Amino acid sequence: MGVTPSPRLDVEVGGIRLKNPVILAAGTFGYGAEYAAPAGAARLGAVVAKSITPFPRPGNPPPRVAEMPAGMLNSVGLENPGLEGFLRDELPRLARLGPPVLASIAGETVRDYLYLARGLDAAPGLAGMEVNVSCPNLARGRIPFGSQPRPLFRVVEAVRSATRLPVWVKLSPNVTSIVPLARAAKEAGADALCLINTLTGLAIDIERRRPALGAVFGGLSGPAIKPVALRMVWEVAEALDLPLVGMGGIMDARDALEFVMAGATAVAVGTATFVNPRAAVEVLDGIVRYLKAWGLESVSELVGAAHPGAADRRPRRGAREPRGLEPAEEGDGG
Amino acid sequence: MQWGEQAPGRPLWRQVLGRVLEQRQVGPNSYLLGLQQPWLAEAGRPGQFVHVRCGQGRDPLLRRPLSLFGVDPGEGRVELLYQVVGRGTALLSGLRPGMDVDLMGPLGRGFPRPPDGEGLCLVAGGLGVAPLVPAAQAWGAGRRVLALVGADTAAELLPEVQRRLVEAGAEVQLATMDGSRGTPGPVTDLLEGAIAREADAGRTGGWVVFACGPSAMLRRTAALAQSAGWPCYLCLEARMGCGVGACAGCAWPAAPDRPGGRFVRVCRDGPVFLAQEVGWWE
Repeated sequence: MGVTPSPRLDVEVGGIRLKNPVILAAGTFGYGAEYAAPAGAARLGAVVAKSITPFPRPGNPPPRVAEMPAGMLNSVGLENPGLEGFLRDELPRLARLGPPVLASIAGETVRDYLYLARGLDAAPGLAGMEVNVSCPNLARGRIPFGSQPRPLFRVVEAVRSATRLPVWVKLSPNVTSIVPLARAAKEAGADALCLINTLTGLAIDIERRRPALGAVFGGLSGPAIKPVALRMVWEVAEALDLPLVGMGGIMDARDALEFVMAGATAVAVGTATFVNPRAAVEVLDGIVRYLKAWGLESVSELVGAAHPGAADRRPRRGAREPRGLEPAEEGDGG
Repeated sequence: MQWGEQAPGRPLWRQVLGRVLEQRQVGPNSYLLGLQQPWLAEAGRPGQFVHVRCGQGRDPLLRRPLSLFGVDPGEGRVELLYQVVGRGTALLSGLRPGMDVDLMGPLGRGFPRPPDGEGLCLVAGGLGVAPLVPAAQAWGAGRRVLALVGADTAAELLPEVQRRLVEAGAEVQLATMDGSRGTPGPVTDLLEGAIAREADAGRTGGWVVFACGPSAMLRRTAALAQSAGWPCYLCLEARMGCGVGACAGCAWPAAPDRPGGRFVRVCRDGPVFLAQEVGWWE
C-alpha cells in the first residue's frame, strides 16, 4: 500500500482559519500560565480567554464549585482583571502560545459590550471576539441578554459595529427555543455561533440546609449537559447556515465527533481540561485516528454528516472496518 | 509525563501516574495510600497537595485534592492519608497494590521552613493533621516541636500519625471533643494552654504555628496566635475545580486590608497562607 496523506484538519470558522477544529473553551484555561504546556495549547486550533468585563470584578463569594453527577456547577461570577488588565497582562501571554486567541467579552449593558469591543478592536495578537451573552442584563431586570432575540440582537449589533475582527456569539441554552436566538445573532452580524454555554442549575447542602453555592444558582457543565448541547447544535445547523462551534461535555474524540456530525465545524473543550489536562490534545489525536481509520481526507467532510440527506457522507462500502479509537503511537494533529 | 508551570515563580507540577504500593486502613474510616512516584517524592514539599483522579470514568468527574502525608525521596514514595467521605474517596479505597493512580502535583504553596531556633507548634483538627506530619518530619530536627492533635473522638486519633510525630521528635498532646481521650474539648484549648505556659515562664516568642483543620478551628487558632504574637500559617481546604489556578473555583476571601483583590485561590496562592492574609466566610 502507498503512503496515504494525512487527513486535512484545517477549518475556517467565522473568519478565522484554524489549523484544526479543537479549541480551548473560555473560562477553563485561565490566561495561559497555569496549563499551557500540559494542555498542549500550541497544537490546538484556537484558544478563548476567560471572559472579561469592562472593569475588574472580584467574582462571587465561595463556595464557587460543586460536583454534580457527571458534571459540575460553578458560580465563579466572572472574576476577571477587566479590559485594561487583560490587554496589559493576559493577552500578551496568551498570544505567545501560538494558536489564534479570542477574547471573550461579557457585560451588563449594551454599552459594556461596546466599550469592550472598541477596546479590543486593535489589540495586538487578537484574532477575534467571543460574545458571552449569559450575563444578566441590568437594563431588563437582570434577565440575561441571551434569553431573548431582541436584546441579543442589540448586543451583537453593537459589537459588530465596533470591530472588524471576527465576532463569534456564544449562545445560552437557558431558553425555550434556541433557533430564534441563533437567527437574531446571525442577523446582527455574527460570523459564527458557539453553543452551548452552561445550563443554570442548583444544588442544596442538606447538612447545612442551604444552597451548595455561595451565589445560589450556578452553571452546569461537563458530560451531563452533552445531550442538550448536541441537540441545540443539531437544531441550529438545520435552521441556518453559519459556522458553529460545538461545546458542552466533550471529554474525548468520540464526543467531539458527535458534535461535528451534528453540524459543528469546530469544537471546544472546557471542563474536561480540569479532569485531564491533556484532554483537548487527546481529542485532536482521536479525530485524526478516526479520519485515517475511515479513509477520510478531511474533517470538514464530517460536518453535519449525521443529518438526513448527508447520505454521501455515509461510510463507503468496502471501507476498512475501523477498530475504534485506540491510543495512537504518536499524535500528528499538525 | 506531562508538566506545566504554575504562576510565575512556582515550582513545576506534572501529571503523573503513581503505582499503588500499599492501601492500609489506619483508623475506623481512615486510609493510608502508599504510592511509588519518584518524581513527586522528590518535588513535593510539606503543605503541598496532589489532585487525584478517582476512577477512570466521568462520574465522579472532578479530581480530589489530597495533602501530601508522606514524602520519601530516598524510596521514591509518597503517601496520602484520607477518609472515605464520598464517592471519590470510596473509589480510592478500592485501589490495590499494582494499580495506577493519575495524579497532578505537587500543587500549591506549602509551609515555609521555620527560622532556625524557632519552635514549631502544630495545631491539627481531625484529618487536618495530614500535612502537618511531613512538616514535623522535614523540620523537626534541632528544634522543639509541639504537636497539638485534636479530633471529635478517640477513634479518630490515628496511632500511625502519633507514631510519626513522636519519631520526628514532637511532644504530642491530644484533645477530643467528647473527652474519650486526652483533654476534653477543642484542640485550640491546648494551644491556649501552651501559650499560657510560655507566658508564665517569661517567654513571649520563639514559636511558629502551623495549623490545619476545620475553618472554625483555624480561625480560633489564628486569633490565639495573634494575641501571643506568634507567626501563624494556616493550611486551608476548599472545593476545587482545576487545582492549578485556572478556573477560580476555589476562591477564599482575602483579608480586608490586603492589596491584590478580594479573593485568593486556595490551590495556587495557598493552600498555606499566613493567617493575616485571609478572611473568614463560614
